[in-house]
Formats: sequence, structure tokens, C-alpha cells
Amino acid sequence: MRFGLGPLTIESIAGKQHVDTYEEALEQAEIAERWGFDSVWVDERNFTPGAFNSSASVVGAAVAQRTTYVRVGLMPLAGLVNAIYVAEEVACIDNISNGRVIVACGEPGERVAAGWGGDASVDRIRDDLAVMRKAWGPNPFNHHSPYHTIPAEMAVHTVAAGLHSISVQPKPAQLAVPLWMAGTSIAAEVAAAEALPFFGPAHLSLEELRPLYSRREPGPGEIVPLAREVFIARTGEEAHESARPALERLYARLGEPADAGSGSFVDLARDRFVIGDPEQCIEQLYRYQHELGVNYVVARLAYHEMHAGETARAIQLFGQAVVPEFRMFGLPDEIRRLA
Amino acid sequence: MGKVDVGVGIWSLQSTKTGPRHFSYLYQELIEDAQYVDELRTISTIWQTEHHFWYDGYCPSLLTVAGGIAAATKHIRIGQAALLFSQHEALRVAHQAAVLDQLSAGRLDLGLALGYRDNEFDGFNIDRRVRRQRFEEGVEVLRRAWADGPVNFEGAQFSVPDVAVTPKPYQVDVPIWVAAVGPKPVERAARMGASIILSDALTLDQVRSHIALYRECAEAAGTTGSGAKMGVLRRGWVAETNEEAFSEALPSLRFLLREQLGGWRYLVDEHGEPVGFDRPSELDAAAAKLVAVHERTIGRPERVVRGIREIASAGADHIIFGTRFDSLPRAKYLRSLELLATEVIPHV
Repeated sequence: MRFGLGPLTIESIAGKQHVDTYEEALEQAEIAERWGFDSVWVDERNFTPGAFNSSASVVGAAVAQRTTYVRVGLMPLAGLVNAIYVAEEVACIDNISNGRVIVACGEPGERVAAGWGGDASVDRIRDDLAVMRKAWGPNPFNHHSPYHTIPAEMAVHTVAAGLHSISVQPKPAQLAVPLWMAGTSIAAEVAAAEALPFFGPAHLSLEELRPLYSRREPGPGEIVPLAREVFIARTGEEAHESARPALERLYARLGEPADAGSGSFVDLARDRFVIGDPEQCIEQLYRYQHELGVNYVVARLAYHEMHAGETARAIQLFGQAVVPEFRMFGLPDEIRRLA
Repeated sequence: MGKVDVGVGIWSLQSTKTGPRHFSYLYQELIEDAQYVDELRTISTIWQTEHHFWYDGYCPSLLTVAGGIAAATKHIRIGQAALLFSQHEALRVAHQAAVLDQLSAGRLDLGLALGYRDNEFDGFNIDRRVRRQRFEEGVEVLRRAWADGPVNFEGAQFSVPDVAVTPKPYQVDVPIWVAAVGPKPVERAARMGASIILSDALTLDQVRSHIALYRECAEAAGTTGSGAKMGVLRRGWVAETNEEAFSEALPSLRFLLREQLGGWRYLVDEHGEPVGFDRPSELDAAAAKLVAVHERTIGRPERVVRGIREIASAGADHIIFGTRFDSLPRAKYLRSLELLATEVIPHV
């Protein structure tokens, strides 16, 4: 199993300057790299009262600069704008990071899509993916669909006349940028249709995830990723004490799942959040591995509600006490107990 | 002559025919250059430039790449000279600029231009003829996006409903700079109270008259109190002696003007018609004229100080010192930046 940190939320927190939250997020990325994580993830949320980070590209480039080895997980929303913009930005970050980008395209949701005059449909998202793949490929291309006309070949553009194609530049450093689909039912449908890894979100419970992950059988060696809210401390009590207020406030701001505010925290956390001491975290993560076939967990761990030192300790502890259990096949019990 | 700030530019991240490089090398080099310039402290801004679908990989995503610069630096302001605003979605620019401004703790100088290459508009399926309208509506989208409350904008080019853009920028007023070759963008900038970046294709006399035009239009529009900066892009190079500077920089400058500007159809003749490769003798003449313009900021420190003062006396208060020439040895290029920071700027 592999592990990532994130997606970093970078929202506005009472009592903290927003600008400091951005710096805190970059520090969390560096800490994850230091403690052996495989990747750091950045998503984007638009029009949120909590002022969550709204550009995966801008922060992704910053994470790429601050790190050397971890992959940079980018979660741009599809369906909002001409996909060439996203393709160009990803290619730039892939070069800043010397080929460390993974892209998990997000479904925007109807409300966000409407704000952009975009489209959250399966067809539109698949069309965006097609444009991005062509843009990253080595050949000049054209693309004519209900959503994209590339190039337009307008008579008024005389200098471009007769070319019939464009070449998006620069090319990514990687031969093929790893592509996943992030979101819920629309993302799962796109992932199934395009044979891409489906990346389930942190806010869905195990039961809700089951039908989404069963849509398609992953191929041999294929990545099966999942995002989870994770918080870890030396004792289960300590972990819950820290995680509860941070997660309660985060989910109230996110407004998801829709019933987040109505039930108790225990109900919200059940089969959804991974909170505890190392043993408890390991046990809970095994369930996702066994029941969904997950082999790549992106653990949030970094909550801006907490003191930065507290999240730093959690990232370190997760790296030392949980990651080895899943990564080090055949780890002798004598060494496991040494923590 | 008031205070003059000096910035450096303009990073384009091209892997050219004569100087092919892996793109990762170029992007890494930009980050290292930014850190180097940041530590020199006297250089106030760093500027990047944008094109799309150009054969040598010319950087298309300035605000994204600026995220990398912001993470690598602490002091220097980060500008675009310029983001081709009419080719973008204004709402996307509003989001990315706000995030970049937060990420950099308020170091964004947002430089915008119309864009002019047919191929770029055609690739994005945008009619070149609406570029001015797109620009002006786009600026209004930015303003509303960064103000409190919902955007609610209904235009011919952009339509943004009842949504509030978050987060807001760190700066209360993100400075907007408008790049200009001809008089029209100067007038537009003056009406907006925006700063200007005058093109490297302009002579000193043209710079003077453009700045006078700006002042006149700002007076008429009632925007004189906006604190707008009068920026000028000048190619430049500093070495220990004039001879060294000329021999290092002039061949590259000639190449840049002749080949690159020719390919972009960026230079215009006295009738405002583009001078491209289809008009080689005019292109040569235009390039030669510009070499004479930029020679004045190429040389030993004392000469460059004089060259910068000359531009400042034409009314400029921000010089973008364009030291990014293709195929120059990196050590010499870093030395030129160091001399600029230590021997030129303190004496301007």
C-alpha cells in the first residue's frame, strides 16, 4: 500500500490569518516528505463560505517547489473551462516537479458548474479528459465535440489558416501523466468508462463507497486510491480529543455529507473517519483494503484548526507507526514492536 | 525624477532552436533565479511572459508557475508581463490570482495584456475581434470577484451569476498592470487607473509620449490619485566593461528581436501593420532600430545607470530590466543580475 497526505484544505480559520494557513500547508507538505509519504495532494473548492483553497494549480506548483521526492497530487475540477487551460497548468507543474505529478480530476457538482457556466455531466468530463490527453501527447491535435472546438479555424484568424491543429506546450516531463477520477457517482462512472482509477472522497462512509468501488475490477497492479480523514496520536483518547473539534468544524464548513450537522459526531465518524492510536488506525485501514481493495490511502492528517505542531506530530507518527505496517510486507514482529 | 524601482524579466521558459533544454531544467532554473534575485534584495519585482501553442514551449500558465516562485521566495514581488487576459476565463484568473496573492502574502503584481496571435485565439476558440471587450469585461469580473459579495456580472463575453469567489486576495487592491505597445491600451489603463508596462518595442520618445498620454487620460478620467506605476520593459545586460557586455549580449539581443519578434508579428511599421518574416528587410530595419534603443541599458554599471535614468526622466518609475536572453552562459547571466543589484540599482 502507498500513502499520500491531503488533500490540503487551506481554509480560512478564526484566529489565524489566511496567509499563515497557506504557509502552514506548505510546511505540512515538507513534513510528509520527510516522514516517507508517497505524495501530497491539493484540491480546489469554489464559492465556499469557508474560503477553501480554490486553485489546485497555484498551490500545486508551490508544493512542487517545496518538495523533492513526493508526488504532487493535483485535483483540478473538470467541466468548468476549456480543458486546455488545465492541461497547460498540469504540464508546467510536471516540469517544476521534474515529473512528479498525478492528476485526479474532480467532478464539480451542479452548483459549482453553474457558477462557471460549465457542465458537471459525465459526457463533458470525459470530453475534458480527452482534450487533456491529446494536449499532453506528443502529436499536434484537433478536437471537435459539443464542448470543445480546437482549433476554431475562424476566417478572421488569417495567420492560423490551414493548420487544422494545435500543439499544446510545454509537454509534461512524464511520458504519461497518471490520471485518476475523484468524486462520487459521476466520477465513478467516468472512471469506469475510461478505465481509470476511481479516487473516493473522505466524506463518504464505507457503505457509500462500496457501490462506487465495485463498478469495475481493477487491472493487475492498478492503483485503487481512497481519501480518508485520519488523525493519529499515541493514545486513542488523545487522538479523538484533538480530531473531534477539528473535524466537526471542518465538516460543518464543508457542508458534506449533507446530514453532517444533524447526527452525533460518533455517527459521523463511524466507518468514515480513521481516528485512534497506531493499532486502531491500522485496524481501520485494513478494512478498506479488504473490503474495497484499496491500495493507496490519501490521509488528511493536516487540520488547520489544530496547532501546526500537533499536525506535524501526527504526520510523523503515521509515517513511523502506520505506513510500515502496510508497506513493509513481511515486517518481523520483533521490529514492529520496537516503536 | 522620482524614485525608480527596478524589476527583472522576462522569463519565458522556451526551449529554443538554438538553445534547446529539457523543460524541467528551464522551470528549475526559473525557481533558482527567483531565489537568487530575492536574496539580492534591491531588485523589486520578477516578471514572466506568456504565449500559447508556440513551437518552443513558451510558458502558457503564469499564475500557476508563479505559485512555485512564491513558495521559493520571501520578499520579491511577482508580476506578469504579461498574462494574455483576453485568451483566459476571467473567473479562473480571479481565483488563481487571489490564491497566489494569499500564498505570496500579497506580492502579486497582476500584469494583463490583450494578446494578439491569431493561433492562440483560434486554439481557444475565441474570436480575436472581441479581445478588447473580453479584456474590459474581464477586468470588471476581477474587481467584483475580489470585492465582498457575489459577482453577478452579465456581459457579452462573460456571464457570472450569483456566486461569491473565495478566498479573496491578501492585498486590498491587487495592483493591475496593463501591457501596452500602442496608445489604445495606455488610454484603457488610464481610465482604469491601472499601472502600465510599456513594450520593449518602443523608443524613448514613444515612451515619453505614451506616459504623457496616460497622464492626460488619467486627468480626464479622474483617476490621477490611483498610485499607478509607469513601467517600461527594457532589454539590458551588465558586465565589468562595455566591451564584455556588448560581446555577450548584443548577438543574443539581435537574434531575439529578429527571429522571435518576427515570428510573433509583434513589431509594427509606421502604419501599425505587423512586420513578420514575410517582410524581411523591414524586419531587419525594425530590429536594428530596437538594438539601438536597448544598447543604452547594456554595458558596465555606470552606463546602465545612465540608461535607466534616461528612461526615468521620460516619466517611468518602474523599469523591467529584461536580462533573459537565449543561450547565454549562466554564470555570466547571474553576474549580470548581481551587478544590476549591487552596482546599478543603488546608484539610479
